Amino acid sequence: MTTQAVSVDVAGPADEPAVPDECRDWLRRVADLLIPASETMPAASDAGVAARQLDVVLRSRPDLTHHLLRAWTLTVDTDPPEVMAELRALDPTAHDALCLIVAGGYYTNPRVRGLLGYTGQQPHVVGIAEDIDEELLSRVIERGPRYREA
Amino acid sequence: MEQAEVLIIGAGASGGVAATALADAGFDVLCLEQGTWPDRAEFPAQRVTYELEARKQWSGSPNVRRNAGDYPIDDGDSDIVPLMYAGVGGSMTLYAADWPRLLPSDFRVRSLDGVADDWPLRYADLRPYYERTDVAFGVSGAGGDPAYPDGAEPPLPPLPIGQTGLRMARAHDRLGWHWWPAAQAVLSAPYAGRRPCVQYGACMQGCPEGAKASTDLTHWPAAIGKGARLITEARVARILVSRQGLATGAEFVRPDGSWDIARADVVILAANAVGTPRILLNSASPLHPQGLANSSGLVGRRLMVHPFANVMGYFDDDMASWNGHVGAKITCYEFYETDPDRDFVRGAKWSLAPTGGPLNAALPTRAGEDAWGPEHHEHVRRHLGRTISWGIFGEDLPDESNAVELDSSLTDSSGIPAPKITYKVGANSRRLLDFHIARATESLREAGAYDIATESLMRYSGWHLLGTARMGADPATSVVDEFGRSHDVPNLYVMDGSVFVTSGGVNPTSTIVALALRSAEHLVANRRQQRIPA
Repeated sequence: MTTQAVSVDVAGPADEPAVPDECRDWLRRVADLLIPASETMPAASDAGVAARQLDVVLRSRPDLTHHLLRAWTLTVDTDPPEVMAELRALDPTAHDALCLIVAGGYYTNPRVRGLLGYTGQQPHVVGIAEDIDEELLSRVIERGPRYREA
Repeated sequence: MEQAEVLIIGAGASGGVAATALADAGFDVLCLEQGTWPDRAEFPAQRVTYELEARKQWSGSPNVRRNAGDYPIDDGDSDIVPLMYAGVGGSMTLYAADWPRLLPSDFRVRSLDGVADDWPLRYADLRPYYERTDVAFGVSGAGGDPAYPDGAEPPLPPLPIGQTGLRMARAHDRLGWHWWPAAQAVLSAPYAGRRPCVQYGACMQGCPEGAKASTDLTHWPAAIGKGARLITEARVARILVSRQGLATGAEFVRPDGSWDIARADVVILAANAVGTPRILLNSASPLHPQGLANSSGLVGRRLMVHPFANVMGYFDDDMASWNGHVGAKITCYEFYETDPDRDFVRGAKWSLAPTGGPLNAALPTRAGEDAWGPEHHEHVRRHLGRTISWGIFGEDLPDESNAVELDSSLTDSSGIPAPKITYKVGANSRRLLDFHIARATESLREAGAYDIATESLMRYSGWHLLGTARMGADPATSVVDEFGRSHDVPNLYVMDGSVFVTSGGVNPTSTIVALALRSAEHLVANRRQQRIPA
């Protein structure tokens, strides 16, 4: 990566990740090949993977910015369908980082999480031992000790 | 300069327990901790980026995380990456809080199975301490487990086992195999001023509720209330020893980079089985050229880390299997004990844990394969919420060639030599895991799994660091006695997982803290006989 390659067209507030618009365009094309639309799920770009969700990812993981810019610079002249194979050969770290950026942006999108029915990381008040079947436990005890005396 | 009667190095699980016992007994206690107090507001469980942060700043690997309190570890020659956390509470901040005890046979491996060594104590010796630390940490579980001898029930009832736990319990009922609600150091009900678990499913990146036990919550406030002093961001370089062969204190680095001395009558190492041998080896001097307390040559040797396998079943039903506490919903000891008909000795415990959120489902972690393009959505649908995973910890037999040494060039940011780990998984462990993977596959098939994926010998699984300053009665073949006291330096103690003689096949924290309590109370009871510097 050259300094010149990353210094163009960088705009936005000081806390916005420094990713040029051209890089976002490139990411949009590559990301849609990794996560295309299905009958029920949006494509990566429609989920904002190269836009707002990219900012979400890079704010939480600023270390990935460098890998993204390197991946873009290495493959800027590569046809999008060949990008991942080329990165895997040229720079596996950048390849893995790009997968993480795309998936990270996609699966932190609230709409995507809603479509998946994902309700994790939410507090749930649970009853104490309410789902333990005492009959099943009794049969474990009836089968006798499992340990060796020592 | 600092001064105390007892200096403890490390404010984690065993350091917190020892400090509390000693402060309760009226000792003037000082603890030096390389990390900081955890800030629960910083834990990522409730952020949408939780799974992203888990792979970097909340990773268990100090080499990935690179916090200011971390030291680097050369793990290039290790099959398994060592995992830990520096801070008040130590690795309990990020552990899963699975809280099994060692079994009686774990203490008699040589006598029963003809391998490794017996411990200088038995299960019955440790049981009272297990029961007391269960109360101190607030353990949830069900009494009467036939995998263990009788004893007091855990202080709290078990946590929910969830859809996945119930499904596997029914499968094991049909198979006639053992299962039991797992004992967890996670609150199922309000306890000692702490709130119960609300099932974030993010235990291994810190519990924002404080429902998961760690000594920053369970011990240090009381110890400090009794007068113990805790200095954070204090990085110990070495222990100082007099010509008379007694420990006189430690040399450490303050956060501003200045070097200082802490003098003490007694020094206790509680820095885990990588940090403790690192300090002992860094304490080499003309009087102790091979490192301190190392006349046996075993400091840093016999590292054990529990080879780990994950066996995951795919089911048609959405069971929301991301939900719940991470340690274990249920556990299985059906194949824990040695069977002469098998081609290996010893065994493994199985733990049923949640299988993670959408990013874990999408990326090729655990047993998931890489799938992008048109197949991606089906790949995620198969994994997310529709998988059940048995985590298998196999017993790791001690091998002197598995070791923590000092790296020849790597240092921390203070210039203190960093550890290098050499670790190879043994043949017995490989056969053991192969057998258990086959049995876990049967278990999941019985529960209705239509497909199985296996990941054996996971590289990022080195949470259980054990054995690098083993206890024993013979100074020629052990580093410390059964109470953690150095055979060579009579006022130097080791009270962390380094003292394990063998590893057992279970998560070790409950045993680490029970041993620490036993050792600290022995020190208190024998204070009149304790040799100290003039």
